[in-house]
Amino acid sequence: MSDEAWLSASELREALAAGCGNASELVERTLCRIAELDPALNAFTSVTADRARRQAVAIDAKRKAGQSLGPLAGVPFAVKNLFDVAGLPTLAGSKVKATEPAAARDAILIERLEAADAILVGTLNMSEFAYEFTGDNSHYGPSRNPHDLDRMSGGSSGGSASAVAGGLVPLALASDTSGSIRVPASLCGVVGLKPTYGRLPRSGSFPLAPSFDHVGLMARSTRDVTLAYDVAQGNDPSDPACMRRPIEPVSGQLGRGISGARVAMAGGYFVEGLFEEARLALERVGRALNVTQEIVLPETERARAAAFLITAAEAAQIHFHRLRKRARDYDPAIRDRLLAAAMIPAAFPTMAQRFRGWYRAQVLEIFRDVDAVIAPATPCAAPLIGEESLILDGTPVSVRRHLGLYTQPLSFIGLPVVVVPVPVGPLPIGIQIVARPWNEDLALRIAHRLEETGAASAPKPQMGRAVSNQ
Amino acid sequence: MTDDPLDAYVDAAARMLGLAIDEDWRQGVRENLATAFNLADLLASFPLSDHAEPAPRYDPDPASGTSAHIDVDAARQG
Repeated sequence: MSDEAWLSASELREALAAGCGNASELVERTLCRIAELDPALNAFTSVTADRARRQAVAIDAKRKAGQSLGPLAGVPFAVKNLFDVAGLPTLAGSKVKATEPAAARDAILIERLEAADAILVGTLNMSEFAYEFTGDNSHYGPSRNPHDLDRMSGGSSGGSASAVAGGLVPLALASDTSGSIRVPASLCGVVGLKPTYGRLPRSGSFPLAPSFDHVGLMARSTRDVTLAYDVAQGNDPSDPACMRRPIEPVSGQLGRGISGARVAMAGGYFVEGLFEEARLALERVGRALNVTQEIVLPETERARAAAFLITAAEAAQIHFHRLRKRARDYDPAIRDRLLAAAMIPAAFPTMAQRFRGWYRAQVLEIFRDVDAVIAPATPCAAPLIGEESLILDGTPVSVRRHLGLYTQPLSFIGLPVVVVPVPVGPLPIGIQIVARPWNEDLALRIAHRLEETGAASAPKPQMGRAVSNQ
Repeated sequence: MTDDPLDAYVDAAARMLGLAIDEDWRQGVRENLATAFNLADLLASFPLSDHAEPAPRYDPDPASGTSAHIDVDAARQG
């Protein structure tokens, strides 16, 4: 992999601002890299080459005219294909939406990133309708893990994690309903930010379950995720869940450190079902942050059950009219899930929403005494593609159900979470840094601190060797 | 129809909802539905107060700026 492929967004912007090359050349090299590496990764579903070239020309003209450049000037990025891109159908990983009219307007986060002079280079593969954790897709094939092409990228934002971890782009947009940013970030070894529910507008993205749908970001460093997060913030009235909060930029705060922050490890539910690599990652992070306190979030198994039922009911309702006519055109794994979900009694999601209020109150009470909680992101490193069960303590566990074990209860109540990769073995694995609502800044500062201590870093894959082995 | 209540439920619900379930899909649908019922049992066994409100709140006029969360935010901003 070339050195440029591993440059951060901030390094790319600084180089451009300093006059080292121009945006047009950078875009051509990015497009070449995608053409070379993506056939093995299957991260992209479309490449917006003409659009990227036009944006690069505009940025180069701005620079030549002496105008100031945006905070993401010249930074290539790509988006999970549930985000609207003007001129393309919004697939959301599906076949049934491939024949629908193209989007007339970009998703608002794309507009904001491009207004900051970032360059959209394409759309990314995902699990159909964002409804599973492996990154598989029966229509477009699985996105693959750059660290071992036979392994899962994780889902549902598998293409986002694969493209960032593989050095195809330094930045990607993704979404997370139950873990769809955090699971692939962990398996591919990148930084993922799922902000507080209601922080970033979802306008122009296809829903899975609106009660829990979040949009967020992936990059290879906390600094890059934070740069993009600052640009992405701000209310948009077309997303009814988006809160009218002031923009709270974090980039300038990253170096403040975490002195005085009360950080605890999550015990109970969050240490059951862990594989060795996840235990090692948590131990390493606990040592780096000198964490001595453990807290238990009560009834977390029920929280996950409640999240499952609400997600099922809301997703089934969105797809009900299509399931009647075109169920055959769905990914079989998603179709069976949605058909079953369409049949669950209405009392289930209502009961689950009542439990959600109770669980939120319990967790917010715990956050009176702690500022952040460290939890596993996934129970294990990336399983092999197609692997249906893993053996844990002698017992087989379902891969599909187990991967979201530790993420789903946290998005259930909308807490902000940053996942950072912790190098403890040949394959990446991440941990979650969980903060109280609206405290993304602390979660990001802790992530940054872990990178400074060397406890967290995005591992560089040997893509050349991996590709030649295909 | 079969004697198994879950199979009977799938058949009846599919007919009432106008959903066609191919024979090849039945097992997958059945397993997913069984999971949902098991999880609902787990949830139903928790002693929630009769006064526990569902988490989402309806705002009759989101543009007015008078909903509770906006008031709280405004207060925080001083």
